[in-house]
Amino acid sequence: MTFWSIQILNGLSLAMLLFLLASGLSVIFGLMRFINLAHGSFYLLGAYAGLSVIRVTDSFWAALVLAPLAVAVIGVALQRLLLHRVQSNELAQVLLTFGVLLVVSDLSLWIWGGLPQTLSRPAILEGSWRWGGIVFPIYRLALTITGIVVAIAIWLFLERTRIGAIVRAGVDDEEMVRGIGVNIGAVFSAVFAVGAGLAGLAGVLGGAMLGVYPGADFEVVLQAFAVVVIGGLGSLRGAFIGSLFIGMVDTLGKSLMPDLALFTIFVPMVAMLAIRPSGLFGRA
Amino acid sequence: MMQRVLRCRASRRPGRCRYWWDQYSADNQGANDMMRKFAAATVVAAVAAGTSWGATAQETVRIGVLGPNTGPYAVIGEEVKNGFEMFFAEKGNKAGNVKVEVLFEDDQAKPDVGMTKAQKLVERDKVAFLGGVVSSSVAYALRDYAVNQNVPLVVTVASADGLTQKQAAPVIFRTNSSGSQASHPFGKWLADQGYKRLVMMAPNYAMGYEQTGGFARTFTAAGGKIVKSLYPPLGAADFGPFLTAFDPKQADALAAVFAGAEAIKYVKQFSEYGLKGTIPLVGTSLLTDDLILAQQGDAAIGITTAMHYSSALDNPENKAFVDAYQKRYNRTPTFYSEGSYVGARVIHDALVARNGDTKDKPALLKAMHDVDFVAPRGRFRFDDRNSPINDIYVFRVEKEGGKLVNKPIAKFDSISQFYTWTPEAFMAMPDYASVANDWAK
Repeated sequence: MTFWSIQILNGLSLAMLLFLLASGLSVIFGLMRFINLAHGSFYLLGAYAGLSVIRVTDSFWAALVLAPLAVAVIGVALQRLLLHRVQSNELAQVLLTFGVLLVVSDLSLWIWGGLPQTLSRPAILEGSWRWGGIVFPIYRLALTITGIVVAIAIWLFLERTRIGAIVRAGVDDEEMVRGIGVNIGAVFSAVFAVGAGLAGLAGVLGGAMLGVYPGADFEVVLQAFAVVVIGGLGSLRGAFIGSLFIGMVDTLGKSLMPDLALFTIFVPMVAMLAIRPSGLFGRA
Repeated sequence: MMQRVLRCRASRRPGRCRYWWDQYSADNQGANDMMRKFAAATVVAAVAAGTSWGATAQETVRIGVLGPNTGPYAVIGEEVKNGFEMFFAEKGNKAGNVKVEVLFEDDQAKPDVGMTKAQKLVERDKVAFLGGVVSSSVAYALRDYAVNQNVPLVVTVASADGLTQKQAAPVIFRTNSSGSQASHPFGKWLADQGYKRLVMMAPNYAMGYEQTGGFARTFTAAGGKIVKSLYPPLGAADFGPFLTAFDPKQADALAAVFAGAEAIKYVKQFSEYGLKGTIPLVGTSLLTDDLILAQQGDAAIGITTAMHYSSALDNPENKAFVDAYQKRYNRTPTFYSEGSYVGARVIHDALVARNGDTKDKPALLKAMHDVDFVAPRGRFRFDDRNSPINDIYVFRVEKEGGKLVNKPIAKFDSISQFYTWTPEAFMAMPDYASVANDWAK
């Protein structure tokens, strides 16, 4: 019983980290039909920016606010200056954003070096939480709760606000939204900023849990794509369910069959592509 | 030129070229071929001449050192570099009367990258020795290349057993411990301390299998039982799922071997999941080397490990070494930097013995094999297969004067890579990698 409770908590904390990444990726694709491999760069930049902020201000909370903002600004700049040029060409999108991923990866290696580093956490998030026979790191618990709060906030934003309505309309029929006089370009940029900011937030939170090191960007972008493939592109609900699924499968797979650790999340992804290419909640 | 000729042939009207220079190249095709051959011959001649110059003018001996600058073992790569750098700096970059130049390359702890970098060092930079190497996978990948090129390879960190056992060769040397060398006496010692059941955890490649296999073999021989073995992938970001995959009540100790950044994360997460205080953590000193101890913090106190060196060893050579290292790099040396420092000395002493001659390979290799000196760890000499015979210590992490140290609490004298077995009997047993999943059966 204890074993399963801890594994489920482990799975949830990984799932929430993945959700922060995948939600942005999925909504950006749904709205703009844009395949953004550079999403992994936003994660890496968020983590490294957080590291620098902590070094200067010695405050994790400052990093939690400033780093995602910085990444959002970088994201918008990237979208306005570079990515919008290949808006309607999918092959060019993949190639260009992969190029950006490589460039950012090398720039970070140059700026922050190759040593794996960990973002230091505030004292109240250190230590572990005990309840009955269960011992669980407080930080992971906090991360799980943060993920759920962010998920509810995004959902409320999309369902209950005017901008959310425009975004949803844009996902369904971009031309019609443009036709009724909405400046869809501005909406695109705003969504891109939010998506990049969420990935940056995931970077800070993940950097304090798993550490930040060269190559982390590739690892997370792979996992985020697995989530999006399973959940379905363009669907927030899909991103949430997909994250839960991948988080649980990965965690349980690792603890029950450690030999297959590298394997556990990609088998469901391949199976999904073969059986239902549009994912659980995606539209064909 | 070829392209222009083609373009001419492809022009719409046969026999006519679109541009006058196409016509020109087409007309001179024969002459161009001649030019090309001549140029190629010149290049070949120049290269041939170049190599012969290189072979005669050997005033400077070059040593190529490989180690990772990126990834989980980047910290260790730096230690390797420091060890070589400091030794030759102390000698004024000379070995006797020859100048020595050390070249460093980043192998990223990946076999393919290590191979490319080794080829670059040997074939382009003409190094006379290869040294360093942190990942056992890289070491195994380089073994055949070093043998074929007849370039001495002095492995100073990678613990790959096979290099000095079934795959031993006169050009392959090791200056640290083989993978299972420290584990063998330690497994027996654990059984002697009254531990009956072990859970083992290590990364899923040669190093992890050999280091945990070493204690599994002697621990089970002394009546102990391996309850479970877990091998997370190298570079696993999160040990949470693995640390919670066993019931601490099932075992008397958790034996884990992780290195570099992974070891820092592992020890911290061990404590976060409430295992510290519930089950003792033991392993080889990779888990708590002197450099990462500071980053692991108090979570590391009480961890018991085995190895041939820690900066806390009490002897005059070590004191001098630690002081010099401390002064130069402002941190405590580890068995990684000591091994590399000793590796540099093996090369240096052989060069001095041979008066800087690297041409006569058999004599050079014999000079390397015959080195015998007092290193910071104590006496250093090779066994018949170029692996050192080391005194192995059991260390316990303790806080001394506000600083964490690996304090020696037990010692086993003159342990070879074969422990109490004869080389033949040991090598007749199956490799640790192939029985990794059988210990818990």
